[in-house]
Amino acid sequence: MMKKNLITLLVCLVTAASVKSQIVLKEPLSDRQTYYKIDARLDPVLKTVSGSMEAYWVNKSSDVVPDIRMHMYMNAFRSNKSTLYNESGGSPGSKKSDFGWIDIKTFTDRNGADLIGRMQFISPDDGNNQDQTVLQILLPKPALPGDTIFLKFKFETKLPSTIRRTGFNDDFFFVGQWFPKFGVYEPAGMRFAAIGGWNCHQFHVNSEFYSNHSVYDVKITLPVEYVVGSGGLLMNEAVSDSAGKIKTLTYRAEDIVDFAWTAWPGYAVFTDQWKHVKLTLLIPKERISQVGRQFSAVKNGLEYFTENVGPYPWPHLTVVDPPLIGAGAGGMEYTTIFTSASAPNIPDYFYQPEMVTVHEFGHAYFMGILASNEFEEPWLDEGVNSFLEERVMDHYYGPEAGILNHPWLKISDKSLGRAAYLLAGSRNIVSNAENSWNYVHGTYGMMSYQKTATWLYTLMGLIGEETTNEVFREYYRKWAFKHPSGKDFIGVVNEVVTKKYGNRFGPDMNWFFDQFLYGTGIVDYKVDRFFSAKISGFTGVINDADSMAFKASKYKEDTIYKSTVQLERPGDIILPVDVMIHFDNNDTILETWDGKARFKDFFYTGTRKVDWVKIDPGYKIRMDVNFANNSMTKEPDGVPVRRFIDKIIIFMQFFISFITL
Amino acid sequence: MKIFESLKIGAIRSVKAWKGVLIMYSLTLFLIALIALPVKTGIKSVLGSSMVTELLSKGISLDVISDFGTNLNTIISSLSFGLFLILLLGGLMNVFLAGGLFSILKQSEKKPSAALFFEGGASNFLSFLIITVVSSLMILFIGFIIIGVPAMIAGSSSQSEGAGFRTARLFAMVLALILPVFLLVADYARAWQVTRERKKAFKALGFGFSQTFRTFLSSYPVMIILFIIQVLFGWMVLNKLLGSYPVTGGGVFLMFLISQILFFVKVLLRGWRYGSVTSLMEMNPEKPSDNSKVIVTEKSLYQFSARTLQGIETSMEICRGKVVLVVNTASKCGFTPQYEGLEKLYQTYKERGLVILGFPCNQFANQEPGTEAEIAEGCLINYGVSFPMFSKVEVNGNNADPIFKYLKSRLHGFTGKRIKWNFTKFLIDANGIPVKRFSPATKPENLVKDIEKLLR
Repeated sequence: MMKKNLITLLVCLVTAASVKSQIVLKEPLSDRQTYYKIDARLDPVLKTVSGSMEAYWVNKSSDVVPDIRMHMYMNAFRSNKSTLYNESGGSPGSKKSDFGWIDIKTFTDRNGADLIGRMQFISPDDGNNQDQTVLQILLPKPALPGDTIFLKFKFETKLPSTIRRTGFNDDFFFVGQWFPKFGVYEPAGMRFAAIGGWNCHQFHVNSEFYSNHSVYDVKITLPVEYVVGSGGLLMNEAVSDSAGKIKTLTYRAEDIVDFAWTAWPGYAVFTDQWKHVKLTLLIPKERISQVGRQFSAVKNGLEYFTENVGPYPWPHLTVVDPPLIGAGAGGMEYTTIFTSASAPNIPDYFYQPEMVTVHEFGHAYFMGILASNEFEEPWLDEGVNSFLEERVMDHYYGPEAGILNHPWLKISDKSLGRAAYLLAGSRNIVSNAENSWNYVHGTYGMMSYQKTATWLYTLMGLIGEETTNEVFREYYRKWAFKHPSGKDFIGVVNEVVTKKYGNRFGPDMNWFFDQFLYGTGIVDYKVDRFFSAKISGFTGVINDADSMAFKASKYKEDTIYKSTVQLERPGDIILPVDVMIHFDNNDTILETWDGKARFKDFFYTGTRKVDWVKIDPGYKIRMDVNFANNSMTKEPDGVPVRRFIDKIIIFMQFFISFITL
Repeated sequence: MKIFESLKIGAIRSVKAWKGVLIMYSLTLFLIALIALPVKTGIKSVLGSSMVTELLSKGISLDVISDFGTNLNTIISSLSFGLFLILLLGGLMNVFLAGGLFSILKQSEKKPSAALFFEGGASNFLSFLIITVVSSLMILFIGFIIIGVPAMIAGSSSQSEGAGFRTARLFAMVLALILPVFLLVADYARAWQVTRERKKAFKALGFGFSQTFRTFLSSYPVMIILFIIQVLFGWMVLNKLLGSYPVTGGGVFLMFLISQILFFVKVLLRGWRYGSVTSLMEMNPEKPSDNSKVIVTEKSLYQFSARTLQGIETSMEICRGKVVLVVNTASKCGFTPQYEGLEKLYQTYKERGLVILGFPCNQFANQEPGTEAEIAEGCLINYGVSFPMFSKVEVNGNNADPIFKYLKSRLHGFTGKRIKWNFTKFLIDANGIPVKRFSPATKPENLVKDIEKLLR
């Protein structure tokens, strides 16, 4: 006992020192408003993670704050009446062991005064009194500016059997959203808030997270055969029982927004290095052939983001490729740890695992470093990140083949994104600036990810690639480790664009965001028709007495034509577009049309006739819902269609021959 | 030997039946054009006079496909339905075409003609349809048993992920080895059916099975060779052609031309398969049915008689006290040069009491088609045969010559009683008792030891 107390004392001393000290990073990157120290034990039989937590929140506002609000995400799996299951339908399961929950066993302040009586569950989003995912603690004494509110918990988290980001399947565990977690206190002015208050939303089916950057000291105790990966840096690993069957892992993480970990005996562990970043990959043993693919995808992401957004500050990054039994945990980000989503035997011309890896890695920037509010502005993380993901994929895996590079068919990642937007039935019923749970008719994914990425491509088409990169660099410089809002992003765009182009696009780019982010319209530009008519001499009757006829044209030498090009704008969204007009004498004229009117006619007089007309010749306005009507020519090229049909014929000939005896 | 023989005959017959192959090719193309051409017109009308086709220079572009917007689902589902109908119709059409092809590939005095082709296709259609459907169902069922079940079992254990897939891949190879067996059954059944007046699909299938397993050692290698060639050919052609992106009108035309020639070759390869199986069937005629089994009671060779090439009925009594070698011969066989060796043996040992008796037989690949006079002339002129030659006989089946029935009942070959090919040799001792049988491949000079032993 004596010895144990001594150890506890030592640990306490070390911990007290480590809160302030720098272990992972050279200097703090954020203002570290919150801190968590967790000592947890995984029970692989009962599927529980139980332990104790010490945490604090610092009131850095000038408000007097009467309460604390914390996320209790795991309670979303407590019943089929939680907001998550109200929205998704269905139930967490049929047996008690299928459900998930988080129970607070003891809850005190720094001095051991009990706080359990001061807790209550609230439902700020939907008033659902069956939802227990937001906990409010009415403080005995309101927190004054500068106060640190210190809380001590003992809690038990039961993981759900259906993995929605977090949960278990057999001996696989992905443990996320697993401890009581502070909401974000937003003082007036932060993210354009009118008055100060807690921003702590319930757990919805279509929403992710929003947190302060924190330091985490986490101890995980579990059977020795489990291979563990986490978002922290491993400080210590020790066998912690006399039989040698239990081990305790100690992790430290700094300035990340969430701490998640995974445990499964089946992982093989690989490591690699990219500049200052030590890469760790946890992957099922059967997928060892994909190790190289995963590492090169992460390195591509690191390289591209470092160059075009900003540096990756942490010295560690863990990539988890969950096994099929844990597929529900795939494709999720927690800054310094993220999960990819692959499968055994994925052919090497199909870059889906790379795509997921690059995407989830990118969240280290747009969710981790630029920690926006994903509840309220999902596009600012998912959409912006999808835009970068599509650029990385098409940059490294082929401009026309970033997702599929088969000799018979190539698909670029950006086209896949545009297709998801264009092929969606409900693409213009809701704007892009909605709380994540308000995307009706199943539009959350398409709106937050692909539509956003597609209009960001359109923005890049207008302002150019280098200016776009500068926008992101400036966004990073200005907002890293703060909590930018969409308006802050727009502010950066306005600043960078006007600095580069002056008044070329107007006093600012708000007109762009008003239409794409806050509006529901579509872009469609169209060449209606063009024709060149011979100009004839003057003939006719002025009055009965004095008719005259001038047969001869005043142009004696050549036949003169008046060419008319008729353009239309069937879509609601107004954008300036380039128009390229080509004549039969090989002249090419580049016009611009501000797009404000519903139609535009261009006239040309001379010996030349118009051959073809193209609106947006570089296909830069990727939000245009119909590329086919953007151009018109006298001599359409039938070769690609013929080639396509011929190949269909060839394929069917052989196919019929194969399937018949 | 039979393997290459049948492959050769199959190839020759397939080329000779080029008219049927051409019909098969043209009808398939015509059928596919029924859907391909409307689709082409549809795409052209959607693209109108747009220049968006410039995005298609490297093949299909998702950006262009996306232009269809929410209509794409409708387009894809109606196209899939159209393709399904075409495939169904294509399947039925191939049943008919197979009937035509099989009936002009069979051994016949008539020259392969388009009329024969269509007649064969029509008269065999129903029976072929049953054979095809039943065989296909068997293949699907076996495929499910061989691939599906092990894969499901392996996949249901969560311990090793991807095991289901790996197991499926492994067992797919097993299926690839079994598939030729079913192709043999279907092909034998159809080859048999076209030779019969009355159309009995299930009897044909029964024959297909029995013939496949009875002649497995020669049939299976033939089929697996043809199967591998066809699959490799198809795969290589598709890979090369579907992965090529000619950008000029001429280039596309060339691609199409080459593809059509290659598809014609593909149909020719199918004819080769049908032809080879047909000739294999002709080399191994039906086993006599049970009720016609003859019990051979004769004790020695001397109780039989045979007609010589010159038509004189001769009792085998003339051989009493001599060592006798009985051979079934043919004039157009790969083994025909053995005449020379046989004559040499005869010359060497006739003084010491050896007699060689030659029995021409036309039961193996039609290699002894001539008349008695022609055979006699051939033997004399080409090989100077002086040992006794007899009239054409059958050596297998109900109508086999009693001498051969007797010899076969006393001496079995390596794989059974049946005589496998021309130049099977039976050695009979000086008491008229058969003592040893030699395969067609055994050269006459290799018989010396056994003959000397009997002559002593």
